Amino acid sequence: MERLEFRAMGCQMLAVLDTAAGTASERLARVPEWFGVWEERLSRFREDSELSRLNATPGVPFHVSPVLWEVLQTAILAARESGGLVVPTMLEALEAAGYDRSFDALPLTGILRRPASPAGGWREIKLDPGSRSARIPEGLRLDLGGIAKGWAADRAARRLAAQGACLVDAGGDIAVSGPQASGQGWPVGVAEPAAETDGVLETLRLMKGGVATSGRDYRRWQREGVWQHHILDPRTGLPAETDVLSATVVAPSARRAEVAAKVALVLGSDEGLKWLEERPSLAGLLVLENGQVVRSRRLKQHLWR
Amino acid sequence: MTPPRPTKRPGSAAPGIKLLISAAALAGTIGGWALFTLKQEAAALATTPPSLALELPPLPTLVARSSAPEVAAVGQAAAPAPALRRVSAPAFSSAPAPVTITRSSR
Repeated sequence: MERLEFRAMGCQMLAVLDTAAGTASERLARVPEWFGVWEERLSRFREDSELSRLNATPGVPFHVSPVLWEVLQTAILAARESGGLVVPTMLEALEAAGYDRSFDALPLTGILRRPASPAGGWREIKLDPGSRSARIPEGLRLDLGGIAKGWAADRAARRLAAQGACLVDAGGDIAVSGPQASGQGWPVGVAEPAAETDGVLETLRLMKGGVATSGRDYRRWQREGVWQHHILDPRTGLPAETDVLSATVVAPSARRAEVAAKVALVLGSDEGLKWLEERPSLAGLLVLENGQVVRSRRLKQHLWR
Repeated sequence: MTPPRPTKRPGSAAPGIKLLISAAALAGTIGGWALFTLKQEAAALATTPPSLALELPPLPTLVARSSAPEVAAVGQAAAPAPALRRVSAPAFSSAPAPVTITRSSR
């Protein structure tokens, strides 16, 4: 089993290939290149990225690359699936909350530069398949951060799968191509939130698809003495006020797991658990602010016990 | 002519003796009842704890500890209460070491 760790998209990445083929190392070595290309297309922190150029060109059709096209479609689909709770139109709100540069460069204290407002408008984004162009309305800018990582994990796993069983971890959004070569599922730990060590709350058995965790235990900062975090509620444009500290969801893909985890966190434990239970392909585990853990009924299918 | 015999006041000592006897009987009765009552109370105290003690809250050191384990998975979503567990305790698991860990983006 070959492993490769690297940093991309502001996160720690891991690719694992479970094969006896001698080309595993060679194939894994290409994965950082893939992420590099995707980051050039999708990062909001790079002024020269394709996404930044699209954000700077509102109101007119903007011809986009196949990568940005696919992620835009994914983001619109996520907005629909989540009932508008996970939308790509959060950039104004994120910057208003103070998240205006990569987290590594973000000052942990400061002032709020402008008030927050609800982040609607995603239905006004027009995608034209014929010309593969996107048009965003005036006054609206896109952030694809979370959805891009889930998409990238899925895409990388799909590419690696031609070489053998694989797992790709894009900063906590994890995709697997199928079982390991032995036929066993992949053991994936669920981190204990806010733990300084690698404490594992639970071990999942991931056979296929993906798992992701959305949490407000990290990527936190203060503005005017008030804690902010990066999971915003589009209904208010403010960091989600919720009793859920972190949400982990197993789903048919990392992209869907990422969206579902965010929905569960934004909705809070009661509504979030109900939302998960209503979707047969999802299973989740919520860690609450008071330290309690709430599991959905279907999670036991994925537990390694 | 016989001299008159001095007049003897008949029964002049009897009232005093009767009074003494009555007082002694009364004292004996009261004393007996008192002794009886004390014995009864002593017996009652020996067999049952005083009611005052029952009304006292249990001493902290004598409070029974919960038999529930710290890590206690309870009902799932269909149950009235959600599944709850303390985070601080590690879950019992026979799982192998994880290949990786899912966590919020970092």
